[in-house]
Amino acid sequence: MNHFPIRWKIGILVASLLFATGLVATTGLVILRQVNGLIEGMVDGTARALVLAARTRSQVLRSVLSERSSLLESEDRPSMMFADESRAANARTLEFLTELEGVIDQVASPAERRALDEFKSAWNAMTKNQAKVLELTVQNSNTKAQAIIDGVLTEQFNRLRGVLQAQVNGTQKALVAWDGKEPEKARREFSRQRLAFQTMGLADKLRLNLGEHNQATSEAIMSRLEERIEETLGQLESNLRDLSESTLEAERTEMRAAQSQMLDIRRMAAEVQKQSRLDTNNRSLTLSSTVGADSSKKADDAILLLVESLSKKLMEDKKVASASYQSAIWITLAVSLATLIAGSLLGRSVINAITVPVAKVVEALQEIAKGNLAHRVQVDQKDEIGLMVHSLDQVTTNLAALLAQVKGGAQGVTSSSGKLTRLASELMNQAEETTSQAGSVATGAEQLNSTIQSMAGAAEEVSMNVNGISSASEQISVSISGISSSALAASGSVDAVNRAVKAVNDSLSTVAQEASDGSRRTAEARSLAERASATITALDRSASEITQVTGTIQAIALQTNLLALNATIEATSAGEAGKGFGVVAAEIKGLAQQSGQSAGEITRKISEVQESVRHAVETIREIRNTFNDLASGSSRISESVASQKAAAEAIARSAHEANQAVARIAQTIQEVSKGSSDMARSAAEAAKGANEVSSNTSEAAQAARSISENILTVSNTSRKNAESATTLNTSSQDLADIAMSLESSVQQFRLR
Amino acid sequence: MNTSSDRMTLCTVRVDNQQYAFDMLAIREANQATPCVRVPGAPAEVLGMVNLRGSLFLLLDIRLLLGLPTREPAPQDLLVVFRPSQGEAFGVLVDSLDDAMVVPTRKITPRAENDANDPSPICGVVLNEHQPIPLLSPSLMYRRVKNLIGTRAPLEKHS
Repeated sequence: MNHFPIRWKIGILVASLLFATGLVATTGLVILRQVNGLIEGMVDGTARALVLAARTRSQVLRSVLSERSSLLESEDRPSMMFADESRAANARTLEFLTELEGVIDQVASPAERRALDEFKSAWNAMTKNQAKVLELTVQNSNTKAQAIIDGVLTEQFNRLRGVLQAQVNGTQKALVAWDGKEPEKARREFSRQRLAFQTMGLADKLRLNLGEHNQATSEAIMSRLEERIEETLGQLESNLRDLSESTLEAERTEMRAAQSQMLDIRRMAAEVQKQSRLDTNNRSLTLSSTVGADSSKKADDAILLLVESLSKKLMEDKKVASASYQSAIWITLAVSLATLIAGSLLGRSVINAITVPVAKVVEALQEIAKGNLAHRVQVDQKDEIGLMVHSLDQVTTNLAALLAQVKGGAQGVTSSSGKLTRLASELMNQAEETTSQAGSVATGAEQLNSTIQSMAGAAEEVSMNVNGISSASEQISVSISGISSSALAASGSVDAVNRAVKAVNDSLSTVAQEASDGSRRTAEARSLAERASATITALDRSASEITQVTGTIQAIALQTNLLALNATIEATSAGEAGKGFGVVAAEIKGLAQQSGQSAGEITRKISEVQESVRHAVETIREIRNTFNDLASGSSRISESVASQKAAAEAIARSAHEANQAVARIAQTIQEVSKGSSDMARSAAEAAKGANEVSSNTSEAAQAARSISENILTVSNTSRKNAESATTLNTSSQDLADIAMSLESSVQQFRLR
Repeated sequence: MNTSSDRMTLCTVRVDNQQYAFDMLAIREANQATPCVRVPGAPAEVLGMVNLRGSLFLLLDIRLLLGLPTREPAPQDLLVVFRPSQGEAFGVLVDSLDDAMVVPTRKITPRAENDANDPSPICGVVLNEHQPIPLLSPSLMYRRVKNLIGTRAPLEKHS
């Protein structure tokens, strides 16, 4: 089996499968057909005969039942209806019977056949008798006769009895009223009464006899009763005639009516006798209960026998069918089992021949997938699978040899690339460290440099502004000296006015002269004061500008301070290397603080100057007001000097006030003078400080610039180093990666 | 904490008229305050983000972290930015920067056991000749804020 090609093996498997299926199907079909034949015979033959026999029996019973109902029914119409029903049942019985005879030939045994023939003869007798019975029963003659007796005849008798009772009552009355004188008359009445009673008895007798006649069945009894009835009728007629003759004239009419009524009674009695003579009811009853009952019982027995026999036969048939069904099941099962066992044995050997070598090949391929190239497949077969296994083994051997070569090469590369990588990464780490340090120091230095430069510019501006303040202060000093001399001159003029006022009475012309002179001088002094005011305003503006500039200096000093702190931070993080730089940063910080302090000093001094200037402005305004007052006073003097002593006194008062004011001016001007010289001095100091700041910052800027340049050089060099090291590192790592992946790939294979 | 074991360089700052000290090595730089951008949904301890020469930093409210009443940032405030070694790079605003000072390590008393739930950023006290100065730890501040933010994604990226 192992050396067959695969398509033969599969062919054998399919053929055995088809053969088994066909065998089981054929067996099943044959046996099913047998069972089907049995069941069909049973249903079409015995069961059908049984059903027909049962139906026949039920129709026979129905016919008998309807016949009895017809007999019992007294009315004509229902009686006829039952009779019709009975006839219809007989017709159906005949129908079923014919069909049964057709069916029974196929299945029946001789005994059954006999039972059926017996039934048929009995049934024929029954139906013949029944036809007679039904014919008679529908006439109902006895019943009709009885109806006449109970109906109209009784009525006639009652009326007759009434008439007779009246006769009896009449005679009774006459007897009661009798005085005993005419015995003949009494005797007559008495005989009439007796006659009436006798007639009543005759009427009752007649009725009784008629009833008996109707009940009678034999001819002899009927003839005797007819004679008796005729006799009674004759006596009744003669009695009534006698009564009619003997009765009173008044009652005679009634008696005549009774006589004519007697004619009716005679007619009715004749009718009753005629009906009774027919005697159908009694006859039919007799027929039905004798011949009919006998024949119907026979028929029923015969058909019952047939039914029982058929049902026994049906049970036997059922047993036979069941047995053959059981045997069919067993045969089918046995055949199926046999083919199943044979088929599975054959299939197992075929499947083994295919799957076992394939499983071995799969196992070998899984081993190769895991990397085991030393595994060989052990299969001794000459089919397609055998060829495949042989080729697989060859491929594995070739692959193992190839991989052994690769492994040797990869190990060499790995060891050398590892060394290279270690070296490169060391180099790179060092370069990166240097670059980052240099970069952060360079950034700090650049910031420091730019800040110091802006500080230097600001310091120069301060220097310039302070120089401006210096010159402005000097100008103020000059202006104030002018004011001072003008004030002194004014003071002199006022004295002259005083003197003039005192001498006003002596010479008005002199006064006028002097007044106009005072007026001119006052105007001069006023213009000088206004010039001084303008100069001082300019000074105030300069001072404000200085304050702004010193604000900028302070801000720069703060920034420098921050910068120095940041430089300290960097120097600290640089450790020992940053120590020198830390010293420079501390010095810069000291300078910045000094600059901030100087700027603060300048600000304070400038505010003092501004305070003094404001004071001076206030004073000069007062001077100007006073001069204005003076001028107006002088012009008033010029106008009314000739006669106004009061005016002269006012002038004197004004002059006095002016004198006081001038004294105040002189004092204030001295203060101003002192303030302005202070200011000049402060400004000079500030200028000196500012110059110092400027030169300091320039020095710092120079130092910072050289540091920055050095650091930049270092930074650039180390960046280049870092780049080279990175390149080297990347290359060596690439190499190491390649070697490692190669080696790990080779490691996955087991070569021996 | 510091490279030399027997002495330590500190930077003193002022917040709400009280002097505090930071380890100089924790500070990346000090600068003037720049405008701060609020971060929606951040806890109150995060004032926002500041842009310093092209880098974004988280700005924390040192007043809230110290348990002091908070106030809006003022223009004269100074920005102290810490190194990324203190968590991610972040900064705080102080009223003023005083000075750099070098103190012997024995003059610093470390604070006992900082457990994770303790919100205080004070990690020790510097015993100065004038008065003791609390030593603040930026990494404790950052840990506090990180806990508050929980497992959300980092709010800032240091470029």
